Amino acid sequence: MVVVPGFWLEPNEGGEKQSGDSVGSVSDVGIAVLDFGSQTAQLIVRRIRELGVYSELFPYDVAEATIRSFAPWGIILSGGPASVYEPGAPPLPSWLHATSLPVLGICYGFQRMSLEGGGRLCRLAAANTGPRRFRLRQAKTPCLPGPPANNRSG
Amino acid sequence: MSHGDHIEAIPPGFVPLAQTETTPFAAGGDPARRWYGVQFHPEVRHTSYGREILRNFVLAVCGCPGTWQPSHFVSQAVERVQSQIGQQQAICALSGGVDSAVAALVVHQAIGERLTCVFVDNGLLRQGEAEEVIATFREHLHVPLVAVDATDEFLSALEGVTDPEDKRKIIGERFVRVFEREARRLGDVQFLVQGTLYPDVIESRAPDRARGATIKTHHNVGGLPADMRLKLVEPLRYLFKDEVRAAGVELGLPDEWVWRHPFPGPGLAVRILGAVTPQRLEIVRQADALFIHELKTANLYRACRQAFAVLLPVQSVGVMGDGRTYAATIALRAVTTEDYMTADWSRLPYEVLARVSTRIVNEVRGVNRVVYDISSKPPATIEWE
Repeated sequence: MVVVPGFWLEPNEGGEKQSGDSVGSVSDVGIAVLDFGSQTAQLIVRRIRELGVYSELFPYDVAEATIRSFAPWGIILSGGPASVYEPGAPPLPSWLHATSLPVLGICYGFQRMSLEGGGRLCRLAAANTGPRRFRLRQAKTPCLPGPPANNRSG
Repeated sequence: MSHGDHIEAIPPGFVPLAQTETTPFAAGGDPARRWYGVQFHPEVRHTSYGREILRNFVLAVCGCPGTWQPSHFVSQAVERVQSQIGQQQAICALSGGVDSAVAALVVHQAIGERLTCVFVDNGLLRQGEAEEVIATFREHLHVPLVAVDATDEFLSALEGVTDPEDKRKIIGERFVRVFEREARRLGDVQFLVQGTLYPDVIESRAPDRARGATIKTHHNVGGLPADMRLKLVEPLRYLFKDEVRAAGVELGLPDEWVWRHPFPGPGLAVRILGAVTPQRLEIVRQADALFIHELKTANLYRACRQAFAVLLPVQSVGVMGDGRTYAATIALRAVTTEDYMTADWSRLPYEVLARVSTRIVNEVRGVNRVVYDISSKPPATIEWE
């Protein structure tokens, strides 16, 4: 089954690419990356393109209409230097909560997603920096790779 | 992992997917809603399976077809340029680098003879570059090319200027003025083509970034005067460097152009720390030419993604023959990088460094010391200014 690009659109409008500043044909539109300020935000865009999927970086507070005209298949929330508890820490755009698009949060993006979704965070005494081994808690998930279970994270 | 925060309880609907010794929710997700999260960086190379995580999300979860290629971009860019320029005229700012060459080829494909390329010799180019650029473009592009020698104009504007940001702003502004003058001479030209790349666009809209500081003003973008009267055409503004190279190959650009090391818009002015004078330009130009020649001879030019000489504002004592010298220092910089966002210094063989150093000190008047830059990016940048 092919997922209809632009999940906000009604099915009968699906696939209709509105004219925007970015790319042309629907099959070339892929992933919108929202930039929460991480230096590696544009690396995400590059990696996605290396997978044969077009991607662009948008400011974290991008207007819904801009994303709508980009018509992505999914959204990635980048990392960022802020702590979610800092005053003025960038929030998720409000339209994101209503989207039916798949979303992947990375670091700050995931933490913000957790906070706004009703989860709880705590502040570590020492920053959790550098390589760590991680272990899968659930073998089967479409998002994470299967075994080997011990992976190195950056 | 690079955060002071961590998730203690994931939101309702989410299930834990991975953990570390210190983080109970290194990854989690709400499969029904197709929301996932990781508390590490799958986009950096040293994260194992990072690529797989991104691939799973993009292809399996989002269902993207995965058929996009940088070459698709060429036909789209051509169409976009056609609709932007219509029946009007454009001039293209050729720098001699791969970006402006590919931008010119895209626009030439879009509007043909209505594009005129303008090459400004700002006096800040590498040895032999101006002659080579003119010859190669006339041969390969077959588009009208106007070559302007504006050396005096640039050098007098830069007289006594030592601040790198000032240099960039002055040079960017001069560039635009010269182009405007040429455009007026050509008649009814409305558009200026520039080879601005995606990272420049992202970096220069730094105010959008939550806390990302402006690292450098890119002369293609940030240094443009507000009253510029030509409209900008930037056909590469969504591409990364390696994608531009792929597009260049697609457009038939010769290999030597495609693989040319990046050269900053402000040219040698930002490879001379301190004031830019004709004498200091000659020193850095000669040293740079020797360095690049030796790298090519040793077959290391391609492996270094960027290599150059920098003239430091440092004089030191030396001894040459029987005499004491008090002369300038050249820093050599060579980096390996995948994307120019992070870079490591090239582990050049000692023999190559020795040969370069000996040749520079012996052949370039006014230099008695050569040092090699062993800083990576970050924390340093590739260029020194």
